Amino acid sequence: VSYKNKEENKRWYKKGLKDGIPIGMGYFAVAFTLGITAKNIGMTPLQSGLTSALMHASAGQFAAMTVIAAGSGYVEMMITTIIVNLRYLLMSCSLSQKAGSEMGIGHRLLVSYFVTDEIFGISSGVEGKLNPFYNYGAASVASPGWVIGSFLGASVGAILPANVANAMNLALYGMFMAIVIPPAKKNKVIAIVVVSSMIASYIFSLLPGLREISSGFKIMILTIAIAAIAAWKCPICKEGEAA
Amino acid sequence: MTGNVYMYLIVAAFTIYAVRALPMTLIRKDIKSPFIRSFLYYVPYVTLSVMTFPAILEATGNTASLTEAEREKIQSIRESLGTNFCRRCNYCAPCAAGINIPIIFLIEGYYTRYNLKEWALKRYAGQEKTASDCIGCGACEDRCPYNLPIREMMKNTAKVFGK
Repeated sequence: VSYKNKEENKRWYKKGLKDGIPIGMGYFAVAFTLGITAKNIGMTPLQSGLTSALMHASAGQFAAMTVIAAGSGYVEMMITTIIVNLRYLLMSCSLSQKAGSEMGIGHRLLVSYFVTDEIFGISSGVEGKLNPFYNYGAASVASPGWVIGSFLGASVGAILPANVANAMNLALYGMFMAIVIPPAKKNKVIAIVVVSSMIASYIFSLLPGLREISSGFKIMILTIAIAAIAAWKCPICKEGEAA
Repeated sequence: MTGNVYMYLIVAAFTIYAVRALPMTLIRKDIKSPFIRSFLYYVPYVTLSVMTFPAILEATGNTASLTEAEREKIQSIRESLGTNFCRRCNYCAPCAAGINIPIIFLIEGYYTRYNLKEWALKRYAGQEKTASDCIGCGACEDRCPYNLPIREMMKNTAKVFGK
């Protein structure tokens, strides 16, 4: 059985807690908006918090609330949820390898529950293989931020001044950059991948026809295309090393 | 809102969990194919970069283009400022009569445009030399990089404050 070293697990859990703090703060701010939307479609604060606890997905939850508000069918709810959240499929594929074969099905089921953009981001950023306790640590601060924020948003509305909420939202992007930039400095291929991804994303946001694509789908399309080209042109030979 | 909210939530939660858990539980072994391994290795870098840019530019919530009403307001402010607007660079100094030229115009702005009349009057009263002390030598106008008709503007300011 893997992860027998309790000290090691504790160390990873603490590291996850620490790295999860900025995520929790950002989530708290962003989730307010979600809560206000929930209130507008007639959800109670508890239902709003429950939605967040069950889904942990911003765009995904907005989409789900749209379906609920429209009173569409359950099948439509399933299809919408799959389409809007398809990027998590890719993230989980990537994490399945980061986890390594020593991670059993129980841990994998639990880690999956908290695959969000941000938690995926930081867990991709750790050195070597992923210890699930890192994800549990991060989730134990990030998830309450998300759930409480959306509960409060639905009960008291916007109590955070807009500039504070925006600043916290911005911090999440800063965190993404902190994950991507250090390896890009060491590895030219990653640097090229990062820069081309940003350029491609920018082009997608400008061109008519392309800019109408939802952000979740844009992430999917560009990830598949660019990661495939990079894998074809510069396959890695050892973990973390470009050929 | 129709239908059962909780039923909707259960369907959505189950679906999103399936999207996340299926790859994680089905792909448990280390993948051997160098292409797929490399692909998955590059995925986070692409995903995080695409999510960040250009979204980060919009994250301050301030990129909406101006509305027609805002444009009109800007135009009316632009017209009211006219071309005789002191930018307070202070290149006109020193004034032969000892007037602090940019400050005088600043206080006038507070009086006429900012709706801070009382505050401006107090400040104006506190100035050692005011617009009416202008001797009209024009030395400041030679030094003003914006070619402002400072003497004309001084006369106007003196009229506004009565001294």
